[in-house]
Amino acid sequence: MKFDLLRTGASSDNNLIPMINVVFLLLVFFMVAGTLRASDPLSVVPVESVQQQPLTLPLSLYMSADGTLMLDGAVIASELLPVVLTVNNENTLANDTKLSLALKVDAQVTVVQLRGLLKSLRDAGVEEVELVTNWVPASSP
Amino acid sequence: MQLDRKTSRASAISLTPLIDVVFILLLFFMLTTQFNQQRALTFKVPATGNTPTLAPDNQYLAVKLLSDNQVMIDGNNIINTNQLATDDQLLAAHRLQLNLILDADDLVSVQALVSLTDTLSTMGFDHVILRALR
Repeated sequence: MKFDLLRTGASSDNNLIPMINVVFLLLVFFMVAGTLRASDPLSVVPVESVQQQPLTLPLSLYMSADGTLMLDGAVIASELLPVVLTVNNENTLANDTKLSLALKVDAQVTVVQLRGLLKSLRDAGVEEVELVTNWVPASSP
Repeated sequence: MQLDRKTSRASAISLTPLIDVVFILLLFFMLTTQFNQQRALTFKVPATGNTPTLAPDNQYLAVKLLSDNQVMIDGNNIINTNQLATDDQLLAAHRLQLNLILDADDLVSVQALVSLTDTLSTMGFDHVILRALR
């Protein structure tokens, strides 16, 4: 009788093993296939593009659909952007490198807003910008 | 018999705490993982005002994106964006390896502008220049 009880106890654990296998498989899939990334400080839906250049610069400037600007995690008025960027970039200038930054702009931002932003960046001496995009596969014609 | 007792002790360790932990890890990774791939478009910030950086006009073809999916080519020819790939002027410009100067109406979204550069790059225009800021 005792022997029987032990057996049933062991077999109830044995029934769990296939489930654990599946859960482990899912766990490994999510750990390997996905990337962990800090969430954006501002809600921004980036532009979709089929072009495939990698993002090389650290993200620093965000612009949401309503035109709110965020630089290094802090909301900033667009008039102050050239001043702050110039101060930030003084070290970079000393290193004699080209000023560039990565920019994440909401897809619904209008061209006139973007122009204003680019003008501020230009005034601060930024010459090159990486616009962050979400890669989408090219639709077949 | 002794061997039996040993196995019974080993199986007394329950698997439930392990499953709990694994489920928590699984939930964590499912909720934090992002699958969308971040890429970037690199472009030069256009010069402001009166910096004369452009070579003579015949080296360039002006393309302006208007609202409601219309594109104006060379200041007069207005076509729809889905006709770009068959436009004679653009095909000729590609043959002559002209650069394109891109401009857009104020209220066009950045997405529309990027989609236009996508179309142009698939047509083989690698050098698209944003028009100088006014």
